[in-house]
Amino acid sequence: MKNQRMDLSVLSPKQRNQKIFARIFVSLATAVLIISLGVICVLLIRLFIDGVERLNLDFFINFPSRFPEKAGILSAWVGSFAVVLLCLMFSIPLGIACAIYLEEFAKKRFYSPFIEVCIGNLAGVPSITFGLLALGLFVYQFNLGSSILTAGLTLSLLVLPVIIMSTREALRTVPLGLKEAAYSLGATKLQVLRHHLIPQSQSGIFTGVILSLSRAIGETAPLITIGALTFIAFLPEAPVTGDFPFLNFNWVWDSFTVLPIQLYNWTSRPQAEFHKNAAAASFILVSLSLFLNSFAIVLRHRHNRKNI
Amino acid sequence: MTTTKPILSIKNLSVYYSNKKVLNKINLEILDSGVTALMGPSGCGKSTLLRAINRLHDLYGNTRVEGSILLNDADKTDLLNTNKPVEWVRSQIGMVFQKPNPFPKSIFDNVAYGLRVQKDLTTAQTKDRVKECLIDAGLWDEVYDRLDAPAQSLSGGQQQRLCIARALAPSPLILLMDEPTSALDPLATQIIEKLIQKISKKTSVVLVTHSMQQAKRISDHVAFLYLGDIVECDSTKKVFDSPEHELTKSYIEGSFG
Repeated sequence: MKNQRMDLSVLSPKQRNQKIFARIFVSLATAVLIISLGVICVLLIRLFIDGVERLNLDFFINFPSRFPEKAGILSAWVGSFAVVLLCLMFSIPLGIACAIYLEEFAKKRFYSPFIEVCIGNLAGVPSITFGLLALGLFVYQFNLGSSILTAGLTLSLLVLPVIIMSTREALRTVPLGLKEAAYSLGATKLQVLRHHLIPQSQSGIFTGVILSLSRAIGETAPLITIGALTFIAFLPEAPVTGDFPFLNFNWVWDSFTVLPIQLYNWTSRPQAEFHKNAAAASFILVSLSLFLNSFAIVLRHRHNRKNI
Repeated sequence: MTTTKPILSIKNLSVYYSNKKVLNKINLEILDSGVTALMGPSGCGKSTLLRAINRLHDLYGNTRVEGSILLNDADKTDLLNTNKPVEWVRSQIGMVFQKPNPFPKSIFDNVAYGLRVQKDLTTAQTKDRVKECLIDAGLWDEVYDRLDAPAQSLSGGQQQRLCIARALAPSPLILLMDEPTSALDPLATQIIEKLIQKISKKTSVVLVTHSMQQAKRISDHVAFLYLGDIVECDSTKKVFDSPEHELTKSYIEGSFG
């Protein structure tokens, strides 16, 4: 029975059309899915083939160099890591606090929809605009220089709206019944927040953080605007020292480069040999972002399953 | 007619959602014992009235509540206009909702939640009280060997009894129940109805129900609401045997609602 063709003639013409339309729609959707997956696969494979010569340990522990075969991404990945770390240090507490305030504490006033539109809009502002703002504000006004700190602050401006919006979304998924139950037992607002809202929405919040992290890693334009270097052969000061108090925060004042800038630098060189470096660095960057995104999906999946 | 004092006196209570008036200057006395049922067709404001007692309307900005609800305690506190914090008001009044809504925590933690939020009990005291409440809710025999299991692993009827135990744990003066059996099968409903009658010997219960049969079976007093007004309020026997109002009569006979 299972392998028999479905007999559509029992349906009314209208139902039959609907059925046929549904089939066409599903095949179209599948085709689109395959195409978009194909693009990412081709991209990854192509980058891998082009860059495989450079993909070894030396590539990770070498500074950039005049000689393509010796050039590596050490300063770039360390820079990326430091910048993203600072960026998350600023944007996570600020973004989550802002979302909690807007969702749970702020009174709904006539201008509330306006705030909402503004935050949504900020998420869509071209990143170069944030770069220009940071150049004026952080570099010239606050005199922070073209440092890792400036870069972290700039990127945190950029991802802040994403974190705010995804956190609010996550908070909204907590069922109203649970909140009311907790309130009816005499819990205060903060207790409801601590015992129910945050634990219930934490994977959703985390998903937003990871997505914004993968956006921050790939960002180039605002960092070039604030004066990131393109060729750098030293590392920031070490964060751990041998003397008391063993921690050193001078590294936030150092100049830096990040992976996408290094990548851009290599692609714009005339020597074809450097393009292999670029392909290898791209491969690493794309894989990293693919990894982060899949991690976010796994988390969201686990969150959904837990809530059923 | 009983002569017990009212534990709650609702005076001139009006509730508005945005600009829509849902309750229209309601006056009602909830007696200190037994089950008071609020019945009426859907949309008549029974749940709104119940939620006003617990001040759940405070959570939403577009709701306005006027009037007063006097609690018959030493201070004659007006629950709506008191200088005592709203958390205190809610700690005096327990609430059970329409859909069982246990927290996604263990069975034990669910019952203990109100205690932990309101009181400073030792672990042993909490344990004793949780056990007491689970026994009161008739759930102890079914769950005593798996108190650490997630509350979601219980059946719907068990979850609702868990919610009752949770509401009883901080020893409220009044227990509000908002159609507690509407999401349950007949057997679970029967168990909960028995439980409500048992509880009402110690704690006064206000029960919202759309089922006349349920009101008739388990309540001692009935208030019949229609379109935001209280039409009739008396002992259950009186209302069902010889309703004063034409509207009540036709509702009980099933001509509408």
